[in-house]
Amino acid sequence: MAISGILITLSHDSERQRLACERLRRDQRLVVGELLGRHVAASAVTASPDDDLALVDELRRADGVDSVEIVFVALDEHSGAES
Amino acid sequence: MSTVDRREFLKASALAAATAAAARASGISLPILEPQAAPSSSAQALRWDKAPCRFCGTGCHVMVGTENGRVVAIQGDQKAEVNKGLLCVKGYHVGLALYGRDRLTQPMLRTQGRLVPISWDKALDIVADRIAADPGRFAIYGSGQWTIGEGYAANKFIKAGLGSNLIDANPRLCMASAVTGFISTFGVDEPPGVYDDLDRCDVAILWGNNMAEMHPVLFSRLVDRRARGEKVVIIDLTTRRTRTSELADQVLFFKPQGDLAIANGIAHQLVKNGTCDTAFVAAHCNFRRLGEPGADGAQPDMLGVPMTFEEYAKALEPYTPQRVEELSGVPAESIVMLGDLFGRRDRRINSLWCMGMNQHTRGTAINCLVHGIHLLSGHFGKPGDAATSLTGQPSACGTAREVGTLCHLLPGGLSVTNPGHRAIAEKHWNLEPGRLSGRIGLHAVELFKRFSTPTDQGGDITTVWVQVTNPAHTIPDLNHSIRRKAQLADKFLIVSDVYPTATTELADLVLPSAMWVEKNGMYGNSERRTQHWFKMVEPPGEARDDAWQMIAVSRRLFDRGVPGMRDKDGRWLFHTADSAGKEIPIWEWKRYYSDTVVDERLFDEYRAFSRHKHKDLAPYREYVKARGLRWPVVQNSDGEWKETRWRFTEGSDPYVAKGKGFQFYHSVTKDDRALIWFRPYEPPPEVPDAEYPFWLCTGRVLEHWHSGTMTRRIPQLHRAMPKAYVEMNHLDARALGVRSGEMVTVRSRRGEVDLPVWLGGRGDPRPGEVFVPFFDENPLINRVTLAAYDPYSKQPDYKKCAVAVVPKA
Amino acid sequence: MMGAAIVIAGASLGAFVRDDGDGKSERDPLPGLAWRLNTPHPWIVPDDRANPLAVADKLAARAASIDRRAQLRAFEGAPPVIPHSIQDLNVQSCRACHAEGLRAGDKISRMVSHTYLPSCTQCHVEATGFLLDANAIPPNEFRGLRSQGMGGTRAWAGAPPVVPHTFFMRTNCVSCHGEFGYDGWRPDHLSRSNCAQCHVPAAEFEQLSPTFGIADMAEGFAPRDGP
Repeated sequence: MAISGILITLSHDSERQRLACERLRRDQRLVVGELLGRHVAASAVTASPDDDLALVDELRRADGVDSVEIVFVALDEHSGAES
Repeated sequence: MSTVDRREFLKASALAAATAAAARASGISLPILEPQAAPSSSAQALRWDKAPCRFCGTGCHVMVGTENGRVVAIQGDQKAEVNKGLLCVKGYHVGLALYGRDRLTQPMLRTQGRLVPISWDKALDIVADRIAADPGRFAIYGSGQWTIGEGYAANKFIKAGLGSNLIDANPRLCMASAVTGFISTFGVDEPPGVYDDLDRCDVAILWGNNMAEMHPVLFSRLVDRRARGEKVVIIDLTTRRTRTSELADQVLFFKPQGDLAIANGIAHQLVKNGTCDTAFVAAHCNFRRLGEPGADGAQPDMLGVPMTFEEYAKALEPYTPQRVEELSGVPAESIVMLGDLFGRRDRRINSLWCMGMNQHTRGTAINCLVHGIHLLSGHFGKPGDAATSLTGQPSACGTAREVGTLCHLLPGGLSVTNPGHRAIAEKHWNLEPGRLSGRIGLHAVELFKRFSTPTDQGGDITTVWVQVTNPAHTIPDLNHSIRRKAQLADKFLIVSDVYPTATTELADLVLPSAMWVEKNGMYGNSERRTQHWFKMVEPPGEARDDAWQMIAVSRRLFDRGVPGMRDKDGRWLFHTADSAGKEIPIWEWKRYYSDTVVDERLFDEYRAFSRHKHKDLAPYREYVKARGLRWPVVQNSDGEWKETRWRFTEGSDPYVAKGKGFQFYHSVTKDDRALIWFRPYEPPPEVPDAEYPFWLCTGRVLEHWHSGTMTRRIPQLHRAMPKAYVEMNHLDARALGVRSGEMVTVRSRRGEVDLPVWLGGRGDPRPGEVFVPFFDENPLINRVTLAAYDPYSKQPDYKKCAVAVVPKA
Repeated sequence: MMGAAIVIAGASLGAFVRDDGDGKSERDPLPGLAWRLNTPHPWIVPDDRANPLAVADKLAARAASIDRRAQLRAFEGAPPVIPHSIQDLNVQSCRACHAEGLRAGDKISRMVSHTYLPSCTQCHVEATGFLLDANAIPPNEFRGLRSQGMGGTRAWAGAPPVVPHTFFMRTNCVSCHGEFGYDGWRPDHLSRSNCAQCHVPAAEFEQLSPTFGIADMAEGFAPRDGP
């Protein structure tokens, strides 16, 4: 399981920005924070580091997204087990 | 912690981290600390343009960062030769000077005691009415902070337009004795040396000059050499311990006025020891002394009479080290040391001074003497060997001295009393012969004396227009000068300024001005460097350029048919046409910047004057490209405009003929020689006595510039130096029973002010002396100072008068 | 107890710190990620271990330091004021604490950020002068340029962050980023002493040629940036 904090920088174009934001909020893998300027914070929960990177790559290619940066990643090797 | 809790915690942490990043990236401050709201910076909106600093005469270049029509940052200009990227604390904060909340933004007329807003149209009509009613009793008082264009417009306005010389400017209070010193010695104003000498000298001698606070960037240009492993000896000749003393190798304390004795003592040593540079003196110098006073007790002529070397040597005989010690307080062995130092050819010596030698009732004399010892010992005209006066204002040289906004000058160093010079000016201005007045106008102290005297008692100046300066704060002996104006109903004071000041407090009409990068402009610094900047932001409210104000009034007078406002062909004095020959109405504010560059028009017209005294200036557009150029700027054969570093020195100055080595081509004696003057020690006009036992010296401090109207509105500078104080020696304080922070009254025969005492503070005076900075408009120390002035330069002495210090009960 | 976690953190730079929770493991479980995000890391030091709170704290500390630094300056690039009283006539005493930097209790003296220049008080003045009446400070509406920090911009996700200030007079990076520097600004690779090898200053702070000049004049002057 990988949990990451992601900084997403959206397009300057307000319409594309709005659409991208809506799309992000619909994405089940993400918890999306409020829009600050054209930056939006999100946390992502994925099954593995590879899935996490795939998600980031996918977000980078998305319309209305200028850049995506990972600012925080936690990898939990004991997923599912009580400790 | 359960896995689920932990996962939630990690998710929350992840989101928090990302949110923090987003907040920073978007320029939103986290609510941890909230400094002043900042504009969010984006690289696209931020622009950097060059300008000389608004403050002192050093002439540092700054890079001004502007964003959305406002100045948001300042950097030292790394391309500037003067400061090489460095500034002082005032320079770094110069951008804040534009944004004090109480900027003047609309014209105001005093109505029933209060300043009431009026329109520009009305304001200009009032000015025109006052002038038209009595042009012979109207005077302009300007500034070494006028841009070159502004000073030129004002000078042309009064000398060509009104046919009088009733214009003077605050460099009278600041630089006039340096001018008379240069003219007496070299026949022409302004320093032969340059700032490069600071980089090249082995020894710097500071004559009553607290350079660390007053010219910090030049001082660091000197002391930073030590950080690079170079050796430079600093000798601080001073009356009080200052920050400069802290970095000096030798600190020699002298009694007020003792500088005259020290300079004569050095000359005496050179003659006695036979260490004069006889070859240099024989080839390039004549000796000079003052003639006898006139039958009516009139001062002898400033340019003096010849004397032989033998007469000179004899005149110096009384100035033995022991006698000089008695007069100056400097130990005889230190006088011998200074004499030996000047006697060495293997040391490059740079003498530097500012107000200590200039604000002096024998200011012309001490300036001449210091030039004299440099000439006598041949410490002249080689890199590092120079006697250089520093200036206090950004364009005291560029505007007042070069444009000639003084009561005795015409542009380009020409003189109003010289009929040939007047003819030259009449030609350049296209005036009929004889238009210009040959009568010297009124110097600053006299001008305000007349203005403050009832008209029927000889006070024949009734209207004064003050621009870019604050005389009700800075004229000496204020109680008996301009501040009496408040009681005189028929006097009318017009003040163009950017903030309320001690002078607007007395004004009948206040005109709001644009300042610094709110307008185009040019300044000229202490090393003959002419500098240019462009307007970068709009002035606030209805504030407008000083030059526009003058031009708009001139147009009104022209429209009313005042004959002086037209040239001999009937055209307006400030006639400006486009390339098709059609007149551009520059008197309309909305056209002033839109159709032409008025600053360029004024400068390029003025430039024609600069040739006559070999102060050649380049075309305006050359200065747009450069970080200033030092005159004479002469175009060489491949079209390049080349500046001059060492004036009168072959190889550097293009006007020195080949093979001459040195050539003083404006020589008073018309033989290409400079003059070595003998001037005796003379006591100051007022000395401490039983009733007024202390010497009072006034001056500046690092943080504040002159009367503080700009720097006191900058929080960082105000906080560091919030108010005036009286500095005294701890022995005197103990005798008076006062401690730091306690209030005392400083009283002279002329007035008094209350001040807190500061012991062990910024400076440390000698016993029997006190120091008060003059920046503070609440206790106006100039109520106390003496109005006595040098007979030639007419510059007052703010550095010495007698006061009593009385603890407040 | 908490399972082995690997924290990769780094606002806007995807830097890489790993830890398996017990502080012993040296294995690199994510070579691909490391390769992709292998950039020097400005504020997370190795001994932060696997505490996400510490990372979040670092981010907050870093932001707080940016604000704290700004409080001593009128604008980005202004010389900081001196937050303590000084001996007016002994300016060389600055060197005692600021030449090398030192920590005394909770006070830190930062090392001088530029080559030693003897006349310290030329640029740096006291924040609180003798006789200050704080109520009497005239209001000023200047709003200075502020550095947003966070490494300015970067060419791509893994690129070394751009320096959000000029290098001029700030050539000694250790002043702010070293032992006596600001909280949250210490990199994990201080031993790499040539900072400028990877980090370049942001262009917006650099002195360009004047942006307005003779070319504009030729086309007729129009004041720029009017409100």
